[in-house]
Amino acid sequence: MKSIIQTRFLHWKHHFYSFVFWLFFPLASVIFLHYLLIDVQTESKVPVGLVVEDQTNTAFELVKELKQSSLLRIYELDEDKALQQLKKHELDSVFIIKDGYEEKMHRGSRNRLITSYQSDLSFAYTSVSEMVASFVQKNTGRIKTAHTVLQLEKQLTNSQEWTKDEIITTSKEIETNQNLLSTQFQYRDQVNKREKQVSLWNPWGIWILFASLATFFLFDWVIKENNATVKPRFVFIRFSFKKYALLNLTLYTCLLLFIDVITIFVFHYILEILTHFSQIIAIVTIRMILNGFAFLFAFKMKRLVTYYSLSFIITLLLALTSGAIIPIDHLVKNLPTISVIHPFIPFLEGALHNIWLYIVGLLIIIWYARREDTYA
Amino acid sequence: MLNVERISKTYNKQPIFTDVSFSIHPGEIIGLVGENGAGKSTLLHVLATLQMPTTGSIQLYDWYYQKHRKHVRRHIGFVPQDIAIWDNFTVRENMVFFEKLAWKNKSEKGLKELCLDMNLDRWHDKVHTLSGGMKRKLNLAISLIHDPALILLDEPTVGIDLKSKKEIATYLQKLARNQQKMVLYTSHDMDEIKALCSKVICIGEDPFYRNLLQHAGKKIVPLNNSFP
Ligand SMILES: Nc1ncnc2c1ncn2[C@@H]1O[C@H](COP(=O)(O)OP(=O)(O)OP(=O)(O)O)[C@@H](O)[C@H]1O
Ligand SMILES: [Mg+2]
Repeated sequence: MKSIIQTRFLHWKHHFYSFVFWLFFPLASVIFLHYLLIDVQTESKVPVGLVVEDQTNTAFELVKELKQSSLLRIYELDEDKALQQLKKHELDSVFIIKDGYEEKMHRGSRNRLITSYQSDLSFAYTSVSEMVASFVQKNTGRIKTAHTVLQLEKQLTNSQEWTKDEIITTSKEIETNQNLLSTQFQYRDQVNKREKQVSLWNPWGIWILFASLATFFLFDWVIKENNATVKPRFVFIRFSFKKYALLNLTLYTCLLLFIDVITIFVFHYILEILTHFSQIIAIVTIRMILNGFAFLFAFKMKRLVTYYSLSFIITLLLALTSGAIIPIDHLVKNLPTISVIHPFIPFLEGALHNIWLYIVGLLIIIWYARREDTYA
Repeated sequence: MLNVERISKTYNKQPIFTDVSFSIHPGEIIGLVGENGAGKSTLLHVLATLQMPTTGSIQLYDWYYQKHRKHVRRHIGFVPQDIAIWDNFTVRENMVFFEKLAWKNKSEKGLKELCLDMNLDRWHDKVHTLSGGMKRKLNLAISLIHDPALILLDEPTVGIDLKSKKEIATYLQKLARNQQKMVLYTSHDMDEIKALCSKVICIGEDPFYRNLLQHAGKKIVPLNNSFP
């Protein structure tokens, strides 16, 4: 294997830049698209003015949460300026956190905590106010829970003996409180989902498109070397051409798996996507399928141009029918077989088995075992 | 030594050569001549294990081609008619590439010396910038990396200038004399054949080369039946 690596380096040296380009092309493309999308999203964020009269922690927390929303761009202003900008339609709407916001919340009063203004052109007002209301509601919920816990603590320290009724009523109270909390969490989840829909894209779905294209282009060495004039020489060296090619396939697979691991880490830190264990298996599987297929396909081809063009078409077809780019739910419903025979769909669904792994593996074994007439 | 016994080769029932027998001893350079399409390349391919003879047997030292095919190959240096080198590599990279995969290891110094022996001195130049003669020399040098006992050359001097031809011929002579290699090579250049070879094998129907060489006093290896 050492000599295979050494001889491969001689080849890599001569097209080093294009080689590195294709190695990192899928990862770089996804990251590039990610930042492009963030840019577009920032451009389309709703500008909202926020006037914070109440200088308390509870108020600051609300400000912080609103700022975290990927739909809003928050400007903290004083009231006059905010209203002025609203008139000029520079702001979509203005929300004022009134003095005494925290105090009122502690008292359990929910009236007139926040005053809002909108203009005749505010198109996001309703959804923004809904969002603000949900934050407020959540905060009041939290305060209520804290209150209950405090009371519980008091009861526990004051009297050791509880009556049954007491326990039941307290647990009920805790239950209802927890329900209140959990519904709010659900609501928050829905908000999250809504935000995701705005940025509807699946990084691994885009990745597989670029990865399959890059794999084809990385495997053009098979065509170049299979049709090279030096081929008869492989009879007189330690490796038959098939063995040499197979060892190189192994080398390429190790290298690309390493790049895939880097991809997983970069996606984790930049895109904040967690990759589960089953997904890692799916990635390893699809990598072996891609490499094996490109390898066998390139062995069947004579001309590079034809190979590149067909690779492009195959990748495009697979990407379009996988649903990674355009949703094809109705197609999958009408043609359930497509999700079984499509090599990308098990990968996108994180399935543990991909029938193509076995097909490609079998084809490689058959290819290797078959004797050629000359140079056998 | 190489012992060829009554081999014949047919393509689709069309005989290329029949009942060819001869032997090569260490230190001998033997020429293989015949008109275009006579079957010189085919015979060399058979001797190089690239093709099986239809009938007959071949033996290199104690190894039979049929039985010890893999082993025989380690001791054959085959110089193909079409130049077989990596065109985008330098001379050095070509040598290193095949040395890494060869049956025998050679140091980079040894590889360089091998090239210099034939006066191939453009070690760091890319192959596609070399002249035809230089490429031919590299084509030969690569085939000798593993120090083979039997060297089969298919028109190693075709299309190159007289000086390069002389350099290659001198080198082959040195290989045979100093290292006791067995050399079999084809050429259409009769002057070269006359100067270099101790014996000549003539194949094909046409008696032209046979007569020519006999007049010049060359020893013709008798091939049973190859000439009706
Ligand atoms: N793979 C093949 N299938 C069928 N016939 C073949 C094949 N290879 C060679 N031949 C035939 O065998 C004959 C001998 O060919 P070969 O290449 O050995 O001739 P040659 O003496 O080397 O000619 P040249 O001097 O042109 O190199 C030719 O008539 C050719 O048409
Ligand atoms: Mg020939």
